[in-house]
Amino acid sequence: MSPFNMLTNIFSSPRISFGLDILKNPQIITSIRRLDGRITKSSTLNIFWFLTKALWKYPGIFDYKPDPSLKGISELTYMILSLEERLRSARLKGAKIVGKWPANPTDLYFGTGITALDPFFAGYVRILAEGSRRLAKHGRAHLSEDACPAQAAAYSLIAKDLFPMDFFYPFIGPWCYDSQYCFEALRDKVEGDYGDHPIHNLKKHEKLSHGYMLQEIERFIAKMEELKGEPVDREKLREEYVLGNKLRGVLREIIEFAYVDPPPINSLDLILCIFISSDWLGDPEAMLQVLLRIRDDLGARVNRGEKAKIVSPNPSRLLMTGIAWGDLGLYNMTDELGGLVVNSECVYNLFYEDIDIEGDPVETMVKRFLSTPYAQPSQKRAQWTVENIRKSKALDGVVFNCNFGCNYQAAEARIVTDAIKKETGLPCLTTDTDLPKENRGQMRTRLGAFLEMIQSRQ
Amino acid sequence: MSASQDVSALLKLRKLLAARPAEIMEAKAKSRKIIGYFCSYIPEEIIWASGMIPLRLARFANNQVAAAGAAYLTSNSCPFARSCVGLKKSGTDEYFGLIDMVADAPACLQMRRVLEVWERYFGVKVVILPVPRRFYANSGRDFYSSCIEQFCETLEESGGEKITASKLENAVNLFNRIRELQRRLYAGLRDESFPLEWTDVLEVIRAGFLLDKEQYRETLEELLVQIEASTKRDISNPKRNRLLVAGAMLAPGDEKLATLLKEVGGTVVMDELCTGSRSTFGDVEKPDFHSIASRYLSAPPCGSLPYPDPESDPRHAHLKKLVEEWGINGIVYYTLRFCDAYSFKASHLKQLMQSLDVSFLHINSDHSDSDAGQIRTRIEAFVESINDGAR
Repeated sequence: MSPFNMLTNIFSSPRISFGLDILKNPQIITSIRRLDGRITKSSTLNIFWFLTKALWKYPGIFDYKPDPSLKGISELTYMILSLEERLRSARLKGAKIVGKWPANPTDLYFGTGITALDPFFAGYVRILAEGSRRLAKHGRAHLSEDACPAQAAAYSLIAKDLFPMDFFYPFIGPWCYDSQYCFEALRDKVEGDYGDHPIHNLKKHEKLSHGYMLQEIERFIAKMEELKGEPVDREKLREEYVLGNKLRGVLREIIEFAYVDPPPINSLDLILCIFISSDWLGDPEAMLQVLLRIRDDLGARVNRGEKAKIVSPNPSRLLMTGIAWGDLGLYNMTDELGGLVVNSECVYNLFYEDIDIEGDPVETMVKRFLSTPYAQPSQKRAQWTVENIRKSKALDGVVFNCNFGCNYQAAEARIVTDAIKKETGLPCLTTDTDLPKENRGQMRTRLGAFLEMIQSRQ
Repeated sequence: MSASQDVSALLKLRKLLAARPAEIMEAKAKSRKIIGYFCSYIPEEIIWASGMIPLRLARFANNQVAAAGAAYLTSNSCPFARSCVGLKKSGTDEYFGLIDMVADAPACLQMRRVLEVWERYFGVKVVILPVPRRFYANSGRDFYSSCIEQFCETLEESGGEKITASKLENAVNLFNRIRELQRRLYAGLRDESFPLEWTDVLEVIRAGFLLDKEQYRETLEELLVQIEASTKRDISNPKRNRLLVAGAMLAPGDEKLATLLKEVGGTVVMDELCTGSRSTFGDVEKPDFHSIASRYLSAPPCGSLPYPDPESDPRHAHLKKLVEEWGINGIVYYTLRFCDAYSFKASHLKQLMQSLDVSFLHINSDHSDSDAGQIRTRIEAFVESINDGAR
C-alpha cells in the first residue's frame, strides 16, 4: 500500500473520526461513587486518550455502527467501553463494587451506597468488543456446553477477575433459570450471597411473598452496611429512586422518539440506551447527563426532520421481546433491511415504570421486585406485553428472541407470541441466537423475509 | 428384574401397578380427586390427608412425543420437560390423562414453564406451592410453612376433604413409615449379599409414586420380611467397584444408564437421585405445618436449589456421607442435556470427589439411545479403571 493510501486510510478511519467526535463534545462527568462521596471528572483528554487506546484494544467494535453524529452516543460508547477502568479506579479510591443480575432493580444497589455491576452486560460487551469468543468458551468449559452465552461470559468475567468485584449479591428469582447456578459456580471465585425473589401465585401468596421479600431486602441492606462499614440511610434509598425515576423517564422519552417519522435514532443506539439501565454503567449521575444529551439532540433532529443514519425512511417498527439480541450487529442489520427496533420487553425492561417515592423505601422496593413484568407467570407477562403494545404507537411486528441455553425464556415464546398474535393481530417472528456473528446469514434471510411480509401488508 | 425368587413381594408390587390405573378410575368415579405432581418438594402428606390421590409423574417420552412437547417449549428444554408436555399433549400415558389437577413446587424453573404450558394449552388446573431458595434459613422455612398452610386451603377448596389434625397425624405417620422402609431397602445395598440389586430398589421406589400409599406400605413391609428370610447372594467374588449414581433423575423411559452400567459390570450400591433415594431421607417430627416444612427443606436438597457457601453445602455433605456409609469408590454423575441446575455443578462435585479419592465420571445426555454407544465406552473404561485401582 502506498504511503498516500495509508494516510488516506488513517484519516478516513472510523477510529480517528470517532476520537475526533469526542473532542467536539467535551462535557462529561463520571461520578463513580466512593466512600468519600467525591465525584471524578473525566477530562476530554482522558476520554480521547482512552478511546484511541480502546479502539485498538477492542477491534470488534467496528463491526457495529452506532451513530456518532447523535450527540451523546460517543459519550455512551466511552462509558460502555471504559467501565472496567472506571470501576478499578473508583475501587482504588474506596468504592465498593457489588455484582447484580439484570432484572434486579438497580436503585436498591446504588441506594445503599455501593456501585452496582451487571456482569451479564459487561461480559457480553467484552465478547463483542474483543471480537473474540474466548470468554464464552471459557465460561462454557466451566459451566456447561449448554450454558447461555451471557451466563458464560459473566462467569468468565468474574472468574478471571476481568472486572473488579468486592461482593456478588444478586437476587435470584423467576426471571432466569441459569443465573442462580452461575452464582453457585462462582462461589469459590468471589465472595457472595443471594437474595431470594420468590415465585408466587399473585392471588394466593401476595402477602406471604411480600413479607418474605421484605426480609430478603433487609438482609441485603444489612450486608451492604457491613461491606461499607456504615449504616445505610433509608432516605438515600428514596433519593436514589428519584434519580432512577429521572433516568427511566428520560429513557422512555428517548424510546418515544423512535416512533417519529422520520426516525431520528437507529435500532442499535436505542437498544444501547435500554441495556445500560441494568447498572447505569456504574454511574447514574453521568448516565443521566448522557441520556439527556441524547434526548435533547433527538428533539433537535425531529425539529429539523433529520433521519438517523442507516435507518430506512419508512421503517417497519418492531418490538424486541424474549431476550434482546446480544449480537449488536443484528440491530444494524434490522435497519439495513428496512426495520427499526423501537422498544424492548426483556430482562432490561426495568425502565417501564417508576418506583414509588412515597412511603417506606424498603416497602416500595418490595413492590418493585414482586411486580417485575419479566418475572411474572407467562400468561401475565404476555398480557402485560399486549397492553404495552396497545399503548404504543405504530408497531408493525414483534420479534421474540431465544438465546441458546436460555430455555427459561424460550419456553415462554409460544405463550407470549400466541397472545400477541391473537389480541393485537401483529405478526411475530421467533428467532434463535447464540454467540455474535454465528448465524448472521440465517438471520438476514429470516429478518428480511419477515420485514418484507410486514411491508407487503402495509 | 433380577431379584431372588424368594422375594415375591416384588411381583405383587408389579401386579398392583398393573391394576393401578383401573383402580384410580374407580376412585375418580366416586369423586375422589387425583393430583399429579413432579417435584419432591410437594408434601404428599397434605395431599393424602385431604383425601385426594397423589401421583408423582416421572417418566420420559419417546423422541416423537418429546418433540411434540418441544413445540410448546423449546428444543433446548431439558428432555424431561419436553416429555412432560409431550405426554400430556399426546394422551399416550394413562396417568397423565387421569389427573384432575397438578401441584407445582417450582424448585426447577423449567418445570414451572411446563406447568404454565399445561395450564394455558391443556386447561389443567395448577396449584402452586412456592419453594424458597433460602431453604436453609428460618425465614425460608417460615415462608414455606405458611405456603403449605395455604396449599391445604387450596386443596380443600378444590374438592379435597377438610384436613383435620388427626388426618394430618395419620398421614405424617404413614409417610414417615414409608420413608423408613425405603431407607432400609437402600441400607441393604451396602451389603453385597443383599438379594436385590439397585435397579430393583429403584423400581420399588418408583412404584411408590403411583400406588395407594397404605397398600404400598404393606407391600414394603412384606418385602423387607421376605428379604430377611431370602437366600443371600454369593459374595465369594466381591465386586471391586461400588458406584453411586448422582444427578437429577432417572425415570421410566430412560433406562439407558442403568442398563449400560449393568452390562459393563458396574455395581451401583446407592444413588442420589430425585427419583431415587433423596426423597427417602428425613422424617416429619410433628404433624404440623412447620414440622412438615422443616422436613422437606432439611432433607438432602435438590440441585435445583442453589446454596451460597461451598464449605457448608448440604448437598456436598450428604454426598460425602453416602460415599462413606456405602463404601463408594466411583460416582457416575448423570445430567440431562439443558439441565443447567445439575450440569453447572459438575466441576465442583468432581473436585470434591477427587479430594475424597473417589473416581468421578460426568455423563451429559438426553434420554434417547442415540449416544448409548459412546456412553457405554466411557462407562466401561470408568468401571475398568476403578476395578484396576481396587486390586
